[in-house]
Amino acid sequence: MMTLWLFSACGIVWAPAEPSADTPAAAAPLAPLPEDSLYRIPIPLTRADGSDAPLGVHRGHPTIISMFYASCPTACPMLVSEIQSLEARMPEADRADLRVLLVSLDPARDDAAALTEAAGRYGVDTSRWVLTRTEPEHVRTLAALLSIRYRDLPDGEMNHSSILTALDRQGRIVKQEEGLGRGHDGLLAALVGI
Amino acid sequence: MHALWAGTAWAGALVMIPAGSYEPLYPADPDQPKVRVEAFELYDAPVTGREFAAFVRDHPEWAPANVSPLMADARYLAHPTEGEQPATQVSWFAARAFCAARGERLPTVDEWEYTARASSSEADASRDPERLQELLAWYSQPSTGEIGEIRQRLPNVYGVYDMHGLVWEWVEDFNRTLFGTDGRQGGDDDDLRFCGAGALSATDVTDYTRFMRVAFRSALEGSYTTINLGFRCAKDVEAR
Repeated sequence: MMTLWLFSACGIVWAPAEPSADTPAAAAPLAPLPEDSLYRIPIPLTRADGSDAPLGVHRGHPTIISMFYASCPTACPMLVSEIQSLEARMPEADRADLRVLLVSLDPARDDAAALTEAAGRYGVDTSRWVLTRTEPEHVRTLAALLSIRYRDLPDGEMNHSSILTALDRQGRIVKQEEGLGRGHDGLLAALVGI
Repeated sequence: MHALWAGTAWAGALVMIPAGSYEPLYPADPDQPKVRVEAFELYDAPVTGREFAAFVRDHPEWAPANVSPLMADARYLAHPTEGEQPATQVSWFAARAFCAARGERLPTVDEWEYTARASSSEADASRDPERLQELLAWYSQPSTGEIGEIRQRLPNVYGVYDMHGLVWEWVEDFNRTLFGTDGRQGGDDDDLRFCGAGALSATDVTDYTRFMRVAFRSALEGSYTTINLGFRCAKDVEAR
């Protein structure tokens, strides 16, 4: 009821908080970002091809965001493969709309070449997946925003938590799941049809 | 020195903390229990309510009405401390922004704990039984009462006040304490999931307050604010 009243009383274009099936997805990116959108946080990213991207590079699409590092031996390949199997379980239209953003925890070593190599090794769909790095001062900021914990180890590896975060089209956190070896049904449910 | 905001005089002063080594409670590599801490500068007292109010006045993007809810929870500055009381109800993001605006940063876990070992007479008093009793007494006090002002107790041997007994403090890498990990076992903070095992692999089990701080940090999120959590800033020593 409140929604209808806002529409008629204001007489202006009003973006619903949750775009529904009858709202064209293409219109969503034009709406102002809600105050709790992750995309309002100014964290500049660099893609594997060296080009710049904002944190909201996937604005307008349901997105999974997480952090990784290219030389990570076990946890990160597992993380990627879990996202891939989650994608495989989505209806085709939802899968085509889904985007994935991975940001490196290891900006010292993860340059453009390392990101490109990792994307190839993981075999990700680079039309929908973006692997990026950011400057060191932003790494801990983003990790804190995503509740990701990490610690450098003396041998050059890292201890880090594996948390997948589902974002709606405007960059609001709609679901977070921690841990590897899970089916991520909750994420799947959160991402389908939003 | 640094630009003042609206004529605000700093409550604290930077103190040089000399380089040395210490043993983190949970070393990243159990085979190398000692970690080197390079010389750095640390404020001799927590940031005060007065200082933080001046920061918010000059940086309105950090006013409660303007800050992203992802960077400060609903209790942020809900009941701001005043005067020479330590600034509390401040999120990690806001604490970092305060220090960054002064050209400074938060201390790391290692820097903070390294400095916190000192008593008024020794740089490393971590095995002094009398001091341990004193620390435990402080940490076991309920924190419901009014928060005191900074610098009401003796400083430690470096001239740093209030590392214990006033408020908890944010550190830059509070989120290095892990619960879901890369699958490694042993010696990591992750062992906190298994209390007994964690205590066995800890380097120093005599100072219980260290466990309390690790447990406290492990429960934090960057947006959290509480009435007994403050911060102080640190600075790299410039190469001369």
